[in-house]
Amino acid sequence: MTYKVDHGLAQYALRRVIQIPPLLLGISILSFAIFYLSPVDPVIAYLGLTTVQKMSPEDLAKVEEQLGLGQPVHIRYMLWLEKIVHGDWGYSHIKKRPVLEAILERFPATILLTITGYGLSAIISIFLGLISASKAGSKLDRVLNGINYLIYSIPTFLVALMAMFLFSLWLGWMPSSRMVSVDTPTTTWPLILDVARHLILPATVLALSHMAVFYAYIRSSVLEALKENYILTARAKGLEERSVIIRHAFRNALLPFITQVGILIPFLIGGSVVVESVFAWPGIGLLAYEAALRADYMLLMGLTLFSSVLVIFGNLAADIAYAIVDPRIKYS
Amino acid sequence: MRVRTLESCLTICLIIMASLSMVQAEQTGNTIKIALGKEPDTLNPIFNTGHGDFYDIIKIFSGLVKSDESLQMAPDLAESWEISPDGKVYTFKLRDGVKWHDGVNFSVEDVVFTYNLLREGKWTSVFPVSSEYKIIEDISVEDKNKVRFTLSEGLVPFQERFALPILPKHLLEGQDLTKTDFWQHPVGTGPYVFDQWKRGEEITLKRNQDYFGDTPQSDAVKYVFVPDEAARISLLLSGEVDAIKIDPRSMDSIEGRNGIKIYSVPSANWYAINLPNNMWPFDSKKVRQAIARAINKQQILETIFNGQGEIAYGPFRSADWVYNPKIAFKYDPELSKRMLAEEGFSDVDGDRILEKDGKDFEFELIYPSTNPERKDIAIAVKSDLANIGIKVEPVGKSWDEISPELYRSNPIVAAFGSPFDPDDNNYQLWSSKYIGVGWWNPASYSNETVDELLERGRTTFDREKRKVIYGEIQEIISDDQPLAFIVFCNYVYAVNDRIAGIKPRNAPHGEGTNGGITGELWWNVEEWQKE
Repeated sequence: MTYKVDHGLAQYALRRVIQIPPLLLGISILSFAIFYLSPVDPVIAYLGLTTVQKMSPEDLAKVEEQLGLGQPVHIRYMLWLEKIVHGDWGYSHIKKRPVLEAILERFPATILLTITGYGLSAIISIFLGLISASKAGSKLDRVLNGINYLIYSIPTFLVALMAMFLFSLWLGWMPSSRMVSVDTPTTTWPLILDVARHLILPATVLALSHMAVFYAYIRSSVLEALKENYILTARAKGLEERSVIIRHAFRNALLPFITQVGILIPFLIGGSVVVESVFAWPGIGLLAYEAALRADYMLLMGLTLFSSVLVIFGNLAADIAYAIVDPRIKYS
Repeated sequence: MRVRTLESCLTICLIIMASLSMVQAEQTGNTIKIALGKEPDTLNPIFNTGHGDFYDIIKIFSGLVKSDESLQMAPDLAESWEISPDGKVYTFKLRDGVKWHDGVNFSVEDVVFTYNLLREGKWTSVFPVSSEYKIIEDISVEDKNKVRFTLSEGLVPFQERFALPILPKHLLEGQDLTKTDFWQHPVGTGPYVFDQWKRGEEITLKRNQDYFGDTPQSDAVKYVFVPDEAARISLLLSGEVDAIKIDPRSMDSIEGRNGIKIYSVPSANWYAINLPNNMWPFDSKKVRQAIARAINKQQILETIFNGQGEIAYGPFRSADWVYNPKIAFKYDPELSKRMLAEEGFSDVDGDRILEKDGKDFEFELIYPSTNPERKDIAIAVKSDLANIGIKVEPVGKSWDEISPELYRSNPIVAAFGSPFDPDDNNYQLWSSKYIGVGWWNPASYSNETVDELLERGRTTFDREKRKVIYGEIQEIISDDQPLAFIVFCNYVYAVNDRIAGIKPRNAPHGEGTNGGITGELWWNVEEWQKE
């Protein structure tokens, strides 16, 4: 938090962007190494057990040659990397189609769900965290804390199922699953409203499941900030307590929070697996769940690569946002 | 001030919620909507593993023949056909003027192309066994509407094998059939045309206006994929979908709600514990008999299947025309204990586990972890066998970990069953020819009398004689208990009572409670309509 930025935001961003290619290279080596070191037969990983069992030895030999299995490891890595760069991420034997295609067509649904979920989570936890911190030690603070721990301790799938039983099966207020109605509206506005209606339950469950961390983070960093001298100054000059907390304490407490959000980006993919599979949300989480359950290694590797790339860009965005929000950074 | 912000926030939220709940889903006319627990990988009808492939095919396709309500073969692409008295020559007369969904004329060449694929068996995996298509010695085109198949053997059940879908030669010739994207949007001659596949969500088929048979009643069929059962039930209750398959234990809580009707349909699907007959101590017939008598089948039927089904002693249901009632025996754990004692098992070290020659009687029981009912059976068997001093450790594995080798070399919760010819499945399960062949004969069961009876059963055309043959087979198998049979399940469906045209029929081994596109209550979905 103490580094000094004495050149423009653009330059800073550029410097961060330049760091990306080596990171990507590192990730590709790591992904390949995990795959290479795993005890799975690469041919089975590539084609799936059922297909391999039906193949003739000659066909198997051909596939082995294509995969470069006889070659030394660095050659195999280069062969693999070349394919990845050209967009050939392998073939998913459970989906019977190219991996990249299978991932990309599911990506928009996941983005919609997670951004809404995390946005909601951030808003609720900032709101509650601020109340808790400003009333630290009070009854309200303890109740909020208690509720927070309770939600944190209940597994997400249970929250999801309870929400579904209550709001769709019992009360019938909310759709139980899917991203759109089975009779999907064909015009734009009804379609948007339909998606929004289907988004409420899964996004709220996702928000609740990640709220605890955010809330605790906001609460403690605001409390921390409240101990600083500038707060004392602010109070001394007679500012209203509300302003003190929101304009001075919160703004400073927000900085580490942004970093925290950046760190949590991997959960953008991982965290929604449970929610997506309960609510039949057609996203990457559901795909990852299937790939893991049915041992589709190519798809799993693709998902690993894909989410790694997301994390890199997510962190870049967080760093840049950090630079924008930090009032101590001045640009010429 | 704060109170006011809070109030306005709440008001806005309420307004949003209210306006959202007023949005009504659009009615898209007369579409039959079915929710399934699992999305298919592809729509490839000739590459499947373990389902009743010719029970009913994906509605996009047609076969030469198709099965009707009583599971008899009826005309489809073939208008009529003749079988020579020795069962070796089949002559099919094809319909005139049939078109593929892309407008190209269907021809006898498509039939030859498809059956050559099946004969070669290279890209195909058809249940029960692709290899049986190898008995087609010759396919000859008589004229543009007539095709003749010559088989090396005259097998009674072979007629059913002609129900497999015919594929378009003009689109598939020369393609790598494992990877072609044809299977993602297939073209057929069936009652419905492929319309759209939204990944992870749904597949839509629309009515084929040029269908050669009776025009389908509904404009479209939509299969939506929702993994969680509670979510599927909710979709049904809200009227968004018309039909689902359910866990029999869920039926009591939804019957009669919002006009929901329950169908409990008998299925030929039986569950059993595979006891590899070449593995100690299952190599002893008496041990297998003892295990079969120590499993409380009635309790499993009542608790896991909510009473929907019947107890199994052999591979045929009591309503089957070949069923032999003499094969039943009682649940009797005390008898089991005596039988094991006679075999030399006793609990010497007092740990409540039997031993023989210093070896504990214990084994791992594998179940596929995606089949919840098989997991429940494994747990029930564990406690039943603990009562007679056998220690069972249930182990869940995914289907991709369960290779045929593992399947036949481990005690496993197995399921099979076909509602068709009595030869179907049973020949492949009990004939010693099928030891070590894929998923078949998992117990490595070998009995010369059974082998001979199975051969006679499939080559005898007289129905009464066949009944005697299969009656004998059942007696021997029930006595040998190569697998410890447990129950036949019913398939339970919950359907909107506005749907007419439903014709329940005996169903094959299939997708479990998830439901599949084929092999279910919606086998005749083209006849379904909403009132």
